[in-house]
Amino acid sequence: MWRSRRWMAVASGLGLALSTAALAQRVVRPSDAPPPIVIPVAPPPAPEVKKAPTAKTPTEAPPVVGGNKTADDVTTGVAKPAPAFKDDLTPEELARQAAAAKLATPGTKCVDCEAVYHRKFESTSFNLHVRPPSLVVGDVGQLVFEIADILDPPDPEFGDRRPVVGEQLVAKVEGGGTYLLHPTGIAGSYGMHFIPTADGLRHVAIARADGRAGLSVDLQVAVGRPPQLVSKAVDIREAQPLGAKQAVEPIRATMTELGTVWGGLWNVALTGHGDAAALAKLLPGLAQETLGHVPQARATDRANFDLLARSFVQSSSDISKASGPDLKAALAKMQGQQCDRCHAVYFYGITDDVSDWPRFEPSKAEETR
Amino acid sequence: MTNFPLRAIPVVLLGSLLGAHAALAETAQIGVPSNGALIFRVNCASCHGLDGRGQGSLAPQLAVPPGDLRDPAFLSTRSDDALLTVISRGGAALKRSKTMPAFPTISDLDRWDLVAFLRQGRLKVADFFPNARFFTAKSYPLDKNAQQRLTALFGRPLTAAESRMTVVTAYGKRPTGDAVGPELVAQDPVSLDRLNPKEKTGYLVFVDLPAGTEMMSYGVALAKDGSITRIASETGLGKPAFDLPYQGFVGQGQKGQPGSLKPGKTPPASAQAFKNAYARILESIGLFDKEERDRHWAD
Repeated sequence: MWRSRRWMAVASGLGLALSTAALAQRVVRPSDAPPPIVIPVAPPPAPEVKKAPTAKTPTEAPPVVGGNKTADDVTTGVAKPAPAFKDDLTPEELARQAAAAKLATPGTKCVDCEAVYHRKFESTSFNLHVRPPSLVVGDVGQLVFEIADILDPPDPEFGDRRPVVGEQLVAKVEGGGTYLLHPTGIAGSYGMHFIPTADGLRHVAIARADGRAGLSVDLQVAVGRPPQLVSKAVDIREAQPLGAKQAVEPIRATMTELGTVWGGLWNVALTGHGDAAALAKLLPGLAQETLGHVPQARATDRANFDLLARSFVQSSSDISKASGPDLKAALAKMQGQQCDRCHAVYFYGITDDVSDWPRFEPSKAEETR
Repeated sequence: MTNFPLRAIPVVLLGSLLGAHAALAETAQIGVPSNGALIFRVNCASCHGLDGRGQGSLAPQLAVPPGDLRDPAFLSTRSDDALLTVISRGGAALKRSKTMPAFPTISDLDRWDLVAFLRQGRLKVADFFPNARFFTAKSYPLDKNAQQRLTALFGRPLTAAESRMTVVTAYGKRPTGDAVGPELVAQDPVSLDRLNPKEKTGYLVFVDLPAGTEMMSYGVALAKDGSITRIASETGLGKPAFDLPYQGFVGQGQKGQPGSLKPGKTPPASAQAFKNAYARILESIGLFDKEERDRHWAD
């Protein structure tokens, strides 16, 4: 019990942050997304997969359901192991099935994958992308709806799907309030974050914000349950960031990860929710990755950047020594002395010289603003 | 307890009923504030401060000081989309301070969480006019004549902070079933033309008033005739009893009569502060009304 509680603390501390920054860096792009890993309807996972330690979580995840299991089975907790037909599957299919089952296991911190549910209602198709595939109580979850009109006969320009754009939509989450759905930058795609408050299968009903009829649909998402319980035809697949793809500098990627860990640490310091030690262990490694990776915009300033980066590496291990009330003070100190100092030059660009930190002279560009 | 104004009781009860009514017409949330709080701490607190008041460690040396993100008047003049744009593309995108950098690495949905965090717990138009469909907000410097009148009334010159006020004006009625709160109409002639003076429902002005030993930001809502319909602070939104000292003024007041307020059992210092604030409020909404008349002279 202790182990599972501790695991949950680490997961929630890290997961809250991961599910914010990291999740949103990934993409839901139907056009160039990798081929989905489809969970077969009839055959259940092979017994070897279910026994593999990686497929289990410390909280004793419910068995992956196949065969004729339904949503009702989940809520009543009577999911039974279905007979295996592994001889019907090729090794590749078994491997994909095992991978999908692992990704779909509740509690799995899969920041790179999503569950996609498909639904057609009248002449509209709804694809719901849920990240992570199995939502976790207390952690931020992301729902993105792809909505398209089904065209019959197909349109020469759009094909058989025309994205529904320019709509103001809301989603009412069972037991979780009503949220505005925001356009994600992809035609016909609208998204939201929310924090589930209880395990189970939750209804999500979308509708027009002004109450007009049309575009209404009721879908379900899995919280702490395998997504296959919502729909047997769910796709579990690797997701990609929302928005246009762009080349990311190594330092940007590192700072994004650092920001995620840093946010998690602040969360622990302020709420006591999570495992500070586990997060603090990640800091020195990430700090090390900043060495030699000066932002391209200030490439000529590499020597000074590395000087600050080395100082950051040295002090990053101090965080792991702090705990309780000291953690907050340690984070504030490091943010003021290390983070802000470097960001003032290399991120905000408000000064060129921080050798006399915390005093600095605004850069010439800054003075003219 | 001795200062408890009995006349406030029906007002508080009415306020509770109105609050319950507002809760029935559920307004959709724009994001997850707790997630926004984390993002704010990591990305924004260096300049805006952990509490958002603009006193972060980098703030003293910035060419343009960061704005006070807890100021309800400041927030009421910015739409959610405008806040999102500034976060995404920097201050220059809206011809604001170029010192505010862009944060393209924060995802769209995380930015909405950030906006939700900025709005959380702050006084907003929907708290005072839950059924309004539109509102507009503009900051007015009090003109020379107004300043002279107020100086004579107060017996002292106005401070710099006192000589500028933001007036929020609410219009129309939200259609039944609409899950989106009142929409901010931008201060440009074409957008303002959507607002029909006949559909005006009232004004909202934010003023600093004494609350115990501190000064606190209060929202004062007025009907079209200038009578006070609601007074609430951020704390008072959750705990109506906190705002009791000023509730005796609700129902009083009229345009053109700044001295008409009766203090009742409000403590003298608080009463005087409120009467001064009300005089400034009337001057500022007078400026708004004048602009509105000029816009619609040909109607």
